[in-house]
Amino acid sequence: MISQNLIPDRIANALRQFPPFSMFAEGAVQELARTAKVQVLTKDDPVWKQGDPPGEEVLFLARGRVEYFYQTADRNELIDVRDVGDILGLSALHEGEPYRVTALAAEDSILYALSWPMVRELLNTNDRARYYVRRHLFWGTRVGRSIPDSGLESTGGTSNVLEAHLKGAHTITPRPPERLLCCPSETPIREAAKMMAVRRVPSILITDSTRRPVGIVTGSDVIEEVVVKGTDSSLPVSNIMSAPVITVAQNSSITAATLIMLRKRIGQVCVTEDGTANTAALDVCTQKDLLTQSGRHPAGFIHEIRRARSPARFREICDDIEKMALTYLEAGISGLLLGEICAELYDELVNQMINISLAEMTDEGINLLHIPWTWIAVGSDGRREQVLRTDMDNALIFASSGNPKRDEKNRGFFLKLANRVVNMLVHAGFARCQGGVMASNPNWCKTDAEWTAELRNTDMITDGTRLLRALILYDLRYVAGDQALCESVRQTVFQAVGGNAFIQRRMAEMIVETPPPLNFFGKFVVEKKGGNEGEFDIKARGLTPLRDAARLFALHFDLRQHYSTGGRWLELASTHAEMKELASLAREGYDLLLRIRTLTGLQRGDAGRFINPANLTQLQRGQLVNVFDVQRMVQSAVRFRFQLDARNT
Amino acid sequence: MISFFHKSESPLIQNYLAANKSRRPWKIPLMANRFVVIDTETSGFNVGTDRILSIALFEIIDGQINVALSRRWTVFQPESALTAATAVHGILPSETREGMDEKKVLEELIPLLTGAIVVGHHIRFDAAMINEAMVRHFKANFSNRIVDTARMAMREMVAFRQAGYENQRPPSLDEVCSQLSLPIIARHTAEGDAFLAAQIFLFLCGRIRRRLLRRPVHRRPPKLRDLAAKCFRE
Repeated sequence: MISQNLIPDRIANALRQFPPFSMFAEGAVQELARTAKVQVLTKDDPVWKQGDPPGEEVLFLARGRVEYFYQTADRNELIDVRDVGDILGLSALHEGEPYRVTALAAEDSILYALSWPMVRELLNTNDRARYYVRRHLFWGTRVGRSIPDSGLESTGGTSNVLEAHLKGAHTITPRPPERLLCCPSETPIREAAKMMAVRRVPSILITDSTRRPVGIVTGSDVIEEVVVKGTDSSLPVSNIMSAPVITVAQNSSITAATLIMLRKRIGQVCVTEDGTANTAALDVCTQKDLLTQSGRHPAGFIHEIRRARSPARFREICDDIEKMALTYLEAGISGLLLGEICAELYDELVNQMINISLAEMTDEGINLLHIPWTWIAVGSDGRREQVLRTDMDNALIFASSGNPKRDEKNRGFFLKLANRVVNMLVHAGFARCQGGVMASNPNWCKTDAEWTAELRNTDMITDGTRLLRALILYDLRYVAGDQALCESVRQTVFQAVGGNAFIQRRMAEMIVETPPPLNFFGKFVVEKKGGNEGEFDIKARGLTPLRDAARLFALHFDLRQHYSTGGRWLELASTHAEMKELASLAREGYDLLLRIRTLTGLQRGDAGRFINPANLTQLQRGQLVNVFDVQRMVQSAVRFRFQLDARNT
Repeated sequence: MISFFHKSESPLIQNYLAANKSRRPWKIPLMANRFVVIDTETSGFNVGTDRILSIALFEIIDGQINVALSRRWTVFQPESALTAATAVHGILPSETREGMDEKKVLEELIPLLTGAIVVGHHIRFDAAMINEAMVRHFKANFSNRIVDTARMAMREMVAFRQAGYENQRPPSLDEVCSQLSLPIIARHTAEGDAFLAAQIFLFLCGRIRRRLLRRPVHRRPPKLRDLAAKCFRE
């Protein structure tokens, strides 16, 4: 005989696979299933809307996915996602208040509506299920509380840099115990010092027979006691050790450990199993060790990059770097500063990739060439403004041998190397350069002689593409390889351009070509054509003139210390008093534009080139208008300095 | 067909026919109707000679399948034997003999059908079978408006769209389920098939709503009675 309750049985089975229903008695679930109603929703159907009163039913998601959106006056943000087996609407029913969020079906979904009075009754009589549901409800109250917070955030109450750090902060993870350098207390001082020197660590832990920390001796202790005070170095180490040892527990907060070290004025802290000196020591951490472990601190990334071997790992690290960039920008850190941080990280990344590529090529039996070469960053990367992975700009210089045929052969080798590195970068999420500015392109992989010849060639001012190429090259910066080679080419840039009034004039003309993007009424000029109508091209209309002006002034006044646009303006301000005010304004303006652009890019997952003025806050819009005033000032300064008006009139 | 002397026969049939006779007001939201999703298992595909072995029914109210109001009947059929169809639905003659009398089943079924729109997959066959039974026992025709989910799927789903090739058939329940990635449960039982058809119906209504950017409403009623008549003439 076929069961009379086929479908309720199926529903009950589906329910029973998930808590809290798995905790209820079988008969009770059966009873719930018998009175269930089945709802079917196609994609984008609302389950309920924000502010709707709760019904008499709690919903069980049997198939599909439901997304919770929180609607404020100007935006609609995704708060949570519900998957198969989740319960929907519990918190609203539980508290008897309207739904706080709008629930939309993200895909075709099937929901079982269960009678709330019955579920409530079951929950009230089943402790385990109730505890489960309380935990489950926790997020609901959390969302309830965090909603006004998120509203505040948009009005300017951003988190600070410390919070940005803490967001990704980790707990102390001890390294493998065999790494720990320790010795018994009767060891002679000299032996202990020798062990420290061999392992190149700043301290040695003195332990008893069960590895419990007794004392610690640091390098400075040895200097103070043995070298300065003249203690006999054959005495046991216990004579000079500091005790008791300051200990922390594993998996405790890194920030707290750092603060302990600062308060106790010590350079290292011992990690033990339970945080007291009565258990075995696991690790000794210095400030530096903690820094590299502390979540999204840039120092941690350097460490990670050095340890990474596979393209997939590089990808993960780069994703994390972008996340860090986002939290930093939200915390209000300067775009220029962030660019410098990211440049250091990406440089380390490229270094590591080059090393891996060279090792791979050796393994494959390709003979490495032992001539000087250098990997340089050009364009925005050279100016340390590359935060997003939307582009890569790099080039390679290798020493010329004087023989063109030989050079061609050498180029073949370096192209192979560059290809590997560029492919790795692409794996790590960098987009290939649309303009082909990559070391794997023969045009950007040349000998120093070729580069010098190209830079000294003055024909380029008549040729638009070559001028553009030259502008990209003027921002070159050393990344890896032989630094002297890079410096000599950079020298050539300053000589070639600094002494050439024609090139400078041509560059100045390009800067004043773009008028400030405000129309007669002081409104933004938005794009009228193309795919970005109604949006504002912040790169071409805002960043480019300021950036080019900084470059021009740097070349004109021979300011070589800095690579970044911000740095160039700073240098200009400190060396030329008459331009101080303008330069510092320009730097601030450029910083703001860069921040807006990077934030837009991170939010949209593109280069952030086009921004929608409607999305800017009133404050940002005001600031932008000020920046364009600065741009106007810069342009007139350029006109004056390079006498552009004199000839026109 | 509906002659005056039938009226005296039973209030059940009178109500049934009265509720289905009148034209529905149109341009009211489709979901405001009461839908009844039906599936029957039969002893074969010949409407005239084969018999209903079981009927399952789900009600859709306000766009929700109400599990509590679902019904299922095993019908007593004295002359049932092992046929090819038995292999499909697995209802043995012994089970059939424990079922309810066909007339009693209809007496329970007809009030539920009264005034409802009947939905099913290849519903015209089920409707024709029920019609046969009704004619036999009550001398009345099955007169509900019907909606076939197979036809709906052909209209609404790209995979089953009328492609113009010969002998294209409305898709089977399995095909539609796999397209909608619905979990197939208890296939070839009246209850399981009806439940699947109900879910398909709601999904397709959702698709129509999305396509139209509004709720589906009644259109001018199709002449389904003619269609049903044609079906069981075949």
